[in-house]
Amino acid sequence: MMKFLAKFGKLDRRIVFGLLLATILIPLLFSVKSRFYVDSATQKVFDYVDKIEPNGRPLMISFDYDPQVAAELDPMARAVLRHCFARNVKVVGLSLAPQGDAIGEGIMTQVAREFNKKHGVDYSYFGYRPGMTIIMLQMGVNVSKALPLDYYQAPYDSLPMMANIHNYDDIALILSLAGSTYPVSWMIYAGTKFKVKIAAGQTAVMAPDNYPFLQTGQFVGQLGGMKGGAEYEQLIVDAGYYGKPDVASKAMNAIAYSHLLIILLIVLGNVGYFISRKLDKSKQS
Amino acid sequence: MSTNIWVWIAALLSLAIFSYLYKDNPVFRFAEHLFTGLSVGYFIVLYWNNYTLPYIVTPLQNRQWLTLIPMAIGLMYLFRFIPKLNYLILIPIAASLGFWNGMSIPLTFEADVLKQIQGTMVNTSMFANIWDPRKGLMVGLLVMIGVISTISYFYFSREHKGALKVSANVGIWFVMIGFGATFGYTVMARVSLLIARMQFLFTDWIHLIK
Repeated sequence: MMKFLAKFGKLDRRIVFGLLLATILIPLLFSVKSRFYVDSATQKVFDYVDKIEPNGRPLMISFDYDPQVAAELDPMARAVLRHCFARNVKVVGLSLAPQGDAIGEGIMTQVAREFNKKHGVDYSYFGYRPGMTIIMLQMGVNVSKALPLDYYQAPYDSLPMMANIHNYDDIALILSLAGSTYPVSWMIYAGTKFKVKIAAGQTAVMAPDNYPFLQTGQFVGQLGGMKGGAEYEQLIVDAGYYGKPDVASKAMNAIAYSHLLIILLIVLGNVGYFISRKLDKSKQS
Repeated sequence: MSTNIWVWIAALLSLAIFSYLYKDNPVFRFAEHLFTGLSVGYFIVLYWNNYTLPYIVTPLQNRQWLTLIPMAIGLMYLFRFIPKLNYLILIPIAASLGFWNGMSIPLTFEADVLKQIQGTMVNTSMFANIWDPRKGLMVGLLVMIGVISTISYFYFSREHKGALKVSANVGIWFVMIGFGATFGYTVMARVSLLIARMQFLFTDWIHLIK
């Protein structure tokens, strides 16, 4: 038994990969269900968006991420857009990350089609704007100067929904979706200077860094990783804004079982390590 | 099975990358080099279309000659390659540093330092509901103890003895809990990416998951 347990201290990494693959695939293939609870940080974003006046000040979504983290951030982008469009909240989209340009366009077009929303009337997408902090600061003074042309090269003034949007006073909330520190930059340059409300949608790696800002209220709320997306999907389904949960909710089952496997492997790995050390010592003596 | 050629290309390239998990091989290296080449090509086009064309070429075509000043300052970075004129790169560095510091320091100080110190303080509103898990006095005290003890661990001007040792040891626990939370989130992030790829392969490619 001791020798068997000692083997877990030196487990071949390919066995770990195989086990992880199995724990991910089985829940996905056989629709195994697990429960998850909505975090207060996600609930706060939902509650804030839920209170935005329909056809009033728009929500601004900044797609500040690259394809390598799209798996975590796409579901939350879709869920928030569905929430907005179901409530007739107008949306302004842009990207401050070079590769976020096409990602934002794809998601906004797809969700707008689901709800029969028209570009320029119900939502506008401006694509990638270089300059990051310059754009953040410039929009506080004049949005049309910071975003002169939309993604399809139409001038700002030709978009009916942008007629009443001059600066951050005309924006209800900015949601920055990112796998890096873009939301913090939004909070510093737009939130602190112009007092516009900021929410973060972050990859799980970045999410813990934002808890100090959540505690002080510098962020309205935060969607953290795949779980944040799944929670938001669940919230819009529970509130009756959308028919069924999407990909993030399905992924949560696989996440739950893979986390259990990782915890088990950490425990067994440590037990194996200490037993093999003990066995080595007894061999030497 | 999908009939979309792009889904097939994406699926086969995903498998090529995954093959590295077994061991390094030519299929993985092909996919890796293809990715690198595509990224470089993408960024060259992107920088040309989003920076060079709108901020240099178009203004010069419209006879906006003031564009030449920032352009000249930017080009001074290239003096790095001319040893005799090497010192001239200090000009664009100074311009860049001055601009960013002027823009960032006041706002960063307010958002990252003042607001965070404010958030650490115990205030009178916390006495209204002592046990509130978010805004109660006990949470306020916990945050305050956590911040002070963690900072004391990083105070190296005195040997960690007596009260400082106790405080630093408490600080280590807070740091470890922080690392644990970060590790948990990191595991979830990596697993999420794998799950999404599996969802793509088994849903979009071979249609096994509905």
